[in-house]
Formats: sequence, C-alpha cells, structure tokens
Amino acid sequence: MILQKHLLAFSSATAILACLSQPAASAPWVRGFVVGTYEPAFRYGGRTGYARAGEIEPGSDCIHGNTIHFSNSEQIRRALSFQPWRSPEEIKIVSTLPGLEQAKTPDQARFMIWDRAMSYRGWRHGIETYINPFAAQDPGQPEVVSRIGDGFNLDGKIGAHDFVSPDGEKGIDNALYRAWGCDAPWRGNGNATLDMRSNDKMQEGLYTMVIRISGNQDPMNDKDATLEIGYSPDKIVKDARGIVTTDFSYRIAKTAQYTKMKARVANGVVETEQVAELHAPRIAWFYDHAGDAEFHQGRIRLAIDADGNAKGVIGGYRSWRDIYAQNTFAQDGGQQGVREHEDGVALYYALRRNADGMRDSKTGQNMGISTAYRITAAAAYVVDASKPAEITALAPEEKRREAYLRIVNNMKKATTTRIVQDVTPGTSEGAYPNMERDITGLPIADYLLKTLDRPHFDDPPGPQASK
Amino acid sequence: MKLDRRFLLRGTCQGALAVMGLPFLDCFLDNKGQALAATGKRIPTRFNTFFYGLGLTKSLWVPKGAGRNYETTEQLKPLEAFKQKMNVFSGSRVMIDDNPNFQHWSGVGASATGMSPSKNGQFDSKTIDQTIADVISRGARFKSIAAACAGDPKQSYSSLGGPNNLPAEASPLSLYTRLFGSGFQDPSRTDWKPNPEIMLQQSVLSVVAEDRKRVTQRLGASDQARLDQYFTSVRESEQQIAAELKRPDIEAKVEIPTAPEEMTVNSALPNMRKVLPLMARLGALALATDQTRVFNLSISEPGSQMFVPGDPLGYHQSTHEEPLDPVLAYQPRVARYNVYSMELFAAFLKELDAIQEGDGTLLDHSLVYGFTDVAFAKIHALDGIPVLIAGSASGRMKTGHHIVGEGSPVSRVGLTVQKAMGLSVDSWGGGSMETKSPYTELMA
Repeated sequence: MILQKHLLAFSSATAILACLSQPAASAPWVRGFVVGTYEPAFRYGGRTGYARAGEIEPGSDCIHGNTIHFSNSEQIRRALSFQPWRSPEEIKIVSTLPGLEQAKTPDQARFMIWDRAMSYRGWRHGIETYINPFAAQDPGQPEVVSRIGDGFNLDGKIGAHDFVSPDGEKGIDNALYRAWGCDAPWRGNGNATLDMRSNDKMQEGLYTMVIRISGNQDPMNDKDATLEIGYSPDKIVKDARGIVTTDFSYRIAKTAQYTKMKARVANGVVETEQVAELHAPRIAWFYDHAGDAEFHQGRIRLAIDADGNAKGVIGGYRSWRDIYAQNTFAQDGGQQGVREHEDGVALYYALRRNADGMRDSKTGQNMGISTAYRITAAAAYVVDASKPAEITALAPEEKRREAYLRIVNNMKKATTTRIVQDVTPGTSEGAYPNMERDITGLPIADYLLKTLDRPHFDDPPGPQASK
Repeated sequence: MKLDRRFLLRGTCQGALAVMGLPFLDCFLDNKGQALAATGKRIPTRFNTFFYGLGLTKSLWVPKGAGRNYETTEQLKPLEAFKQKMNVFSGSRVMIDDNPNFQHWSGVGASATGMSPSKNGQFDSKTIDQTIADVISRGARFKSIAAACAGDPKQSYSSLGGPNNLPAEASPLSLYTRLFGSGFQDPSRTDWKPNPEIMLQQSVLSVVAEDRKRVTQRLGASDQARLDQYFTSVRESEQQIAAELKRPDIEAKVEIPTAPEEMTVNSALPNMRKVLPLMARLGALALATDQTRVFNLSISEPGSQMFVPGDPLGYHQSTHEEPLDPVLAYQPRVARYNVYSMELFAAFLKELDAIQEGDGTLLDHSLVYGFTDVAFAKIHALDGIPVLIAGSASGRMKTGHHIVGEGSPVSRVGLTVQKAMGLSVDSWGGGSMETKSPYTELMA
C-alpha cells in the first residue's frame, strides 16, 4: 500500500525533486510534512535537565509546580465541602471510604466513587458538574506567572498580560497557556501524560495532519509562497525505532480540516498570513473527540531544518467552550479529574476568565481564547488525492462520537443559557453505571447508592464502557 | 502389575478412599527418553498461555543486548532461573489499521489472534491456544483448560472467535473439580467400562446431528455461520465423548492431589501469591497426566486491578495517576507491580519445571506464551508490547534468546510459536499484521 503511494507520488514528485536538488530563484518548489507531535505550547522556566528525585523543578512560570487535583482524601474532602447540601457524615465517608479494602477491586471502587462525587458539585443536588460547570463553585486554578510564552501577536497590540516570545517578540497572545499552563497532564518536557498520550494515538493512526508549502522562488526565501494544512486519510508511517519516518507519501484531504494560506519564507522560516478561519485537525486521543480545530485569526510559523524536517507553532483564537469540551469529555469529567488530576470546573472558570477574543457583539463576551500549539513535522511527500478523501470513519466508534457531540451540545447550551442540562446517554459521564458495578462488596455501598447523585436517563443507557 | 503413566496408588484413610498418582517416571519412557514406553508415542508437546495486564516498564525490562548472551534486566530478574529456557521478544508492534484502539483490549486481541480486534472485548478469530489445541489436543480429555487466578471467569483470553470466549475456572477448587472431580474415570481399573451418562450424551448428540442439515438450510448466512460455530463445538464435544468412551491407549496414571479448600480468590497480591501456585500446580498435573494439552492461566483482566492491601491506588490506577519520576523517567510504583507480575509468571514456570519427564521437564516439553495488553500502560501505547516465551516445545524452539523485533508485528511471535508447536502454517494474523515471517533463528 505504502509502496503504491510512493509510486503514485513519484511521478509528480520527480519534477519537484529535480528542482529542489538545484535550488534556484524563480523555480517552482514544494515541500511537504507530516506532523509527528502536536501539543499545547505550555511550560517555560524550568532549567533543562534539572530535577531532584521525584520532583520537577517548579519553573518560573508555575511557581508552585503542577496543579494536582483530587489525588488524595484531603483534596476530595475539600472539594466536597464546597457543597453546603452535603452532610459532614457524607463528606467524611466519601473522602475516606471506610472499608474500601473489602471491595473486590478497591482502587477501581475508589476511582469510581470519587469520579461520581466530583461529578456532582452543583449548588444543589442533581446538577451534573461537567455539563453545568457554572453551577459549581470555582475551585481555583493557579495561572502561569511567567512573561515568556510561545505564540503569535494575534491582535496586533502589546497588552499588559501578553507574553514575550523566546525570541523577544512582544505582544504574544496565548491566554490558553496563561489559564491552563500549570495543569499537570499537559505540562512537562515531553513527558506530560496527555501530550504523550495524544501524540502516541496520533502516530498510531487516530488521525494524520499534513502540511504542504509551495512557491515559485527559492524554498529558503520566497515572498509569495502558499501553505496548505489538513487531514490525511493515510496513517503515519513509523520506523523500527517508532520514530515518524521521513519521505513517505500522504494524501491531503480537502475536508473541513483543510486550509490554504499565503505565506512568506525568509531564511527557511515560514510565516503565514493571518486568516479569518484556519481549520486543522484538533488534538485528540480518542476517536469520538477527534475533529476540526477552528482557529480564528489563525497563523502558522514553521522553521525548516537542514534535514528537511520542521518545527513550529500553529495559533489563533479558539472557542474556549470547544477547548473545555475537548479536554473534559475526552473521557468523562470525573475521570479526567480523579485519573488525570485536573479539575474541569477549574478549567471552565480559568478559560472564561482569560478569554480574550472572538467577542460577541450582542453580549460583549469573549467567546474565544488565544492559543498556540507546538508541532514537529517530518519531511514527506504531500500529494493531492486522486479522488475526494474524507476522514476515515470507524463504524464501531460512531455511537460514541454521537454521544460525545450530544454531551458537548448540552454543555454549550447550559453554559450559554445558564439553564441546567441533563447528562445525555451513551457516555460514562458521572461514572454511571460503572460505579454501581464496582462498589459491590463495599460495606458503604448502600449508603453511597442512597446518598450520591447519579445521571438519570429518559432512555435506557447506551454503551457505558469507561475509556 | 503394569506401571505406566496412568497408574494410581490407592488406599483408605479414615474410611475414605485416597488416590494418588505417580510423577512421570523414566520407566514410562522407552530408551530414547522421548517416547512413551507403553505405547511408543512421543511425549506430547503442550501449549500454555500466561496473561498479565498492564505490560512492563520499557527501560527496566528490555535487555540491552540481542541474541543469546543478553544481560538480564531488573524486571526480568524474577525469571532469571528460567533464562536459558526462555525467549524474550522486544520491539513488537500492534498495528490497529482502521480499528479503534480499544484501551487495554487491542493489544490483547492482537497478541492472541494476530489481528487487531474490531470489537471491544471480543476476539476477531480463534485465539492462538485454540488454533494449537485443534491440532494437539485430540485424544485428551479436555481440549483446553483456562484458569483465572484473580477469581473472575471472564479473565480468559481463550476464544473460538467473536462472542465465544471460553470461561476460566476461577478458583483452585473449581479447577480441581473440573479436572479431577465428577466425570473423571479411572482408566486403570480392571472393570473399566464406558460411563452410561456419557453414552447417553452421545446418543442425544447423534439425534441432534441428524437434524443439522435440515435446520441449516433454513437459515441466513450469518445464522448459518453462527450455527456452524455451534456445531463445531458439538463436534468437539463428540470427539471428547468418543475419547472418554474409549479406554485410553495410555492407561491413566494421574496424580490426584487432595482437593484444595475454599479460599479467597481476588486481585489482592497476597491472595494471588497463594492461589497461583495452586492453580499452576493443578494445571501442570493436568498436562503431565494428559487430561489436557493446552492450559491457559491468567492473573488479571487487561488493565490489571491487582493491588497490594494498603495501597490506595492499586496497579491500574497507578499507571494513570503516578507521575513519571523526572530522574528515573519511569513510574516507580508501577514498576514494582510489573515485577509482581513477573514473579507470578516465574511461579507458574516453576510448577511446570518441577515435573520431570524423561530427559527433561514438563516445561521443556511445553511452550508458554506470555502476553499482555499494552506496552506503556500510562498512555495505552502498543508499540513495543512485551512477549515472553518459555519452554522449548520438546526441543523444537531454541531458547535463551532476546529477539529485537524492530517494529515487527507481534504476530511474528505467534507464527513462530505455531511452527514450533508443529502446526502446518505458513502465515498468521490479519490486516497489516498478517505475516509469513517467523523468527527462523529460533527454529531448531
């Protein structure tokens, strides 16, 4: 298959290669890339390679280190104590879980109980927290305090809260980093859990993002180049070491995730124009939440190295509700909380607080937040598909995707109208019915079933498998 | 008195019949040491699987060197006693093609069938143990036996494909009862005759069989396929019944231990340390006495729920919640659980290796396919999924090697195993993992 693609690409690439081998002014050129890593442009400050046993240096951006939510009884107790309707007895039992060792699988029981409890932190009983985060008290999320950050000056201004790029450019708009940059699963030197996970899944075949740059002058210096970015139906090819292989062929699909932009190349650094809408695949680690990332006022910068590989930044304003949904409902809100130690409610308030773009003229509210994502890309042959190519659909996962979209829609409706919405069936949101399954044998099982809220569906629940 | 491998010692103890078999004695063998003296048949080669969840820690288990003289790593240390009887496979890859990555399942399905599963919790084809059992289990009382040390019959990775997973025995007592309880006939008795209940079962199945063709003709394609699978099971039952109705060529000389007591069987490590040796011992005895030639042992579900009492996280939660130590670059708590899994694997191998057979041990006359669900559990990665093989399949597989897969599909290991087990097979697996390339350097 790959060989066939290679042959297909060969004829069209031969002429291009001939041109590249003898770079000359005013000659058509094309360079292609397949994206190998794609992650939020987080973390600055820690000294490279510096660590004490078991501890990363906090770094100057997050002076207290990573934020870790829901990792122990005390953090759970604190989170529960924000709800005045919970009795002291309930807070104590749920946070300490007496008799936990009598469950068949204690760690799973603990996880599910805390997932359920954290999913109901509204101002009254029965409000699912992650669909209705506005109904829960803001638990707080430490913000990045550093002045240095990656990204673009999207608004053309130099604001008091803007970052300075590592190269010294002022006015960098990356409020997502400010809001969420201390969150542990996305913060690290290549070892942040969700960075690793999403990159692994992308490289495994969940989705493929390709970039093609072309021009008519010199590939290193071209004032009138074109950059295309989009999804490819072809899976990323890795070598024996598991590293993304260079020089394979990938089709580019002109789907909703495709954008064509003007660009300038100076000394091998590609800078695109700022476009009203930049579409590209979004970071995902499950099929159901993979899809289109809409960058408003989007831009891309890529630096091409001597081997023909590239690294750079893609940025723009994104709907902060999309970012919230993408992060929170990748699994379910409680699972992201107890398992990944991030608090969706904290994220909701942090995003809303730092929203700095896409102003709604009617309400005056900022619907978007400035973002920047780092990418690294391997040289590749990016070719047009001989027939229209679409995102590969995985039939077994379509129901889960539909369920994801339903829950996202309910969250958006809830957070814009402030009218509490229900959990939609087909997801594991609220750890239902998984908690019921996993607390069997626990002496406090009956108490928990009577006391803790749970989703109530109009219809019989669909597939609830926890991811 | 004729002594052969099915001879039983008998006596009474406090009024009850006590029966004890003999270990495999050299006098059961001919002077070549590889064939049974009584029948002239070779010692059968047995197949085993060992499943453990959540993989291993790459930096702690992958040996640095390749080939025979590799250095034992920290996580393989519990298996050091078996180093020369094992092969270690690193760098194997699972290609999921256009299937989803079912967290904790895709790796299981790929390792057991050579193809990535299209449904969560189901195998897309017959698992490797059943493929092998089709060939080697004829004449044995049980085509295969599965046992789950954590007490859940669903923790079986043995399947006829689709929803037809074969449940595991979930306690030492139930395993004992299945193997040596009701239905077990002592073939060494002089008044041996077919069991009337078995004869009745045979006649019932015969009647059913007469209607097969008529019923099948009325069904659609999918139902026909399902019915065909059902009748395959029926035919296997018939073969098993036929085996039980015929006095075995080799008279039974099984070693029957006393029945184990009821005990707590769950995912707590201290309990598993008690349960696994018992189950492994029973499985080994069943193999040694030809009750079955395929034994599957598991210690967990994919995404193992193993836990050490007092540890608030346990194994699976630790893989998700424990951060990578920035100095060590791995998860220390998870690494300890990895080692516990290897210690349990070693306990299984110890039982197989403790039974002498001719010039070797039961382990020497076996292959044990040790597999798992993920490579790096924290992110459910499938690249570099570990595979460990023990035993030499009666000398048909070279041992003591570390094979570096360099991104090869994990199905290459399965194909190598089947060839070593004597199957006439040129390729194995499906999709991108279909392979015709066994590790020929291991073929003796």
